[in-house]
Amino acid sequence: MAGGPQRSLNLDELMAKIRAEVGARAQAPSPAAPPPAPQAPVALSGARARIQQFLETAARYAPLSSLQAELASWGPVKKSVALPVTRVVAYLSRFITSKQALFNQAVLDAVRELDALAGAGGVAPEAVESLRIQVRRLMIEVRSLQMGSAPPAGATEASSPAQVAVAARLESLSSRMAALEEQVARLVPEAAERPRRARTEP
Amino acid sequence: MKIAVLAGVVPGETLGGAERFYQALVKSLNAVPGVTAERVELFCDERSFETIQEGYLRAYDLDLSGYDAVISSKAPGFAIRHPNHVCYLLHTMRVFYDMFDAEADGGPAAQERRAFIQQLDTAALQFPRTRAVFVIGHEVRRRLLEHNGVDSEVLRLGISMEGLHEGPYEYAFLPGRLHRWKRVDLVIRAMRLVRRPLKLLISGSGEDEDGLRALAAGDDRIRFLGAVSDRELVDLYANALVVPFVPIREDYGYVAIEAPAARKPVITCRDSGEPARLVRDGVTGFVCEPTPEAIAEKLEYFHDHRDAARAMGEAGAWSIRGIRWEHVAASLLEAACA
Repeated sequence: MAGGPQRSLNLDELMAKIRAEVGARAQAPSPAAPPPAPQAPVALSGARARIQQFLETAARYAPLSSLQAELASWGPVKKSVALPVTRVVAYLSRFITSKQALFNQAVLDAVRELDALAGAGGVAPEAVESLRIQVRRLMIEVRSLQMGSAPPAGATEASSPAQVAVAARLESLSSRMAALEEQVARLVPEAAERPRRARTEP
Repeated sequence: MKIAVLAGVVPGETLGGAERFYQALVKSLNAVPGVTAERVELFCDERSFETIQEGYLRAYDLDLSGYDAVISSKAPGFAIRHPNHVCYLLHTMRVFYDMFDAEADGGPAAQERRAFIQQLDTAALQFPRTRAVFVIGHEVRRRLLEHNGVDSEVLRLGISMEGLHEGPYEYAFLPGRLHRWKRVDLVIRAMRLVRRPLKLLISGSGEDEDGLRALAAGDDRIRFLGAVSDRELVDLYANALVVPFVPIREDYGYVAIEAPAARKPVITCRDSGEPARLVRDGVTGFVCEPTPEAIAEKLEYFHDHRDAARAMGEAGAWSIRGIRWEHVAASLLEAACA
């Protein structure tokens, strides 16, 4: 490195600089730039890259009825005998390999569709957490409505049928919201329940 | 003890070697009683400086507090924050290091970016933020010391390919990614000077494949096999006469230990990095000048002296007997638990 090794560098400061730059880029998107893709969770992004690699490998071997033996490491004599034999075997087994190739292609297509769906549906833990917070806020609203519609303490007058119906609807809404919050929390339990660890910096 | 092995996933990158590395590392750690190792993937897009920066930030923000220790192996993964972080470095991003002059335009903006990445790496690998830095070979150690002032311990990777064995000695075999840093063109040019009926089989694929095929056009002795399965690779090694492997400043080069495991001699070059240290000149193969003439001479030698190829292959197998994954796992665990 020009100037020699630097020994007193502070990673936190450098990261803060990157964070500021990334934030500034996010604040001012180029009008010509395409809309940012949804941020996939770290593990999902990695897994998808690997899935795509596996799919490429599978696609290479899928049309096995038209594949030819490479015999790359065979000598010329052995190969001159083996190649015609492999062709005959390939021809005779076409009745099964052609169907196997169709099956392989169908499976590949299905996996690609699933992969595309996963790509479209991948949701970041932060987005799930944000959704959970919104649900929680709605629950608080519902509860405050319930409290507001309840008769004051010591009231002797009986509730009207309309008030009873509203209270019942609010109660039902409240329990449905609680169930929804639970479902959202289950999507990314760690994001929902565990506060981010306070890091101990050296 | 629960350990996270942080694996970098780069879109578009060939997964063969990296895949085998992570599988073997996790397997060797899990073979230690009381240890549970898991692979945790970190996505990093290296297509632009901005996305690389974001990769560093993603690593820095990644919460792996549920693990007792974290083992990182690449940039930007080693920016992770964990009290028991150990780095087993495959390489830093070489375009910001030894390959900068070859790959970047050298302008002030590029210089500034290189300096920034080197600063980040230096800061991230400092003790005690990173408890220990191990590297896969002397080439990476030298680079880290020169550019980052960070010293490290060499811990060579074990062989992760199963079933390597000796077969007949028939052809020159060159496996690997077809990328300019591997200098496959040097071997193809050498073949033009080889006046023997020696075949050269080239396996693998990569960004420079079309150019290399064009360069080899007209020479019936040279065959491109494309990507091959591990099983095919084992057979190709088994029946090879010699393995020419002449990359430029290679970090490690699995080829340089896989070939001797199949009892095949290796031809490499003085500037090939770690392979030039792994191959003992005249004993387990040849370390020659990076010229077509020098490589051609050695190829012809092995064609004419198959017994020598067999003897050097045997010596090569002996020379790598101490390179084992068990040692890697034990050293990493010792550092993480210290």
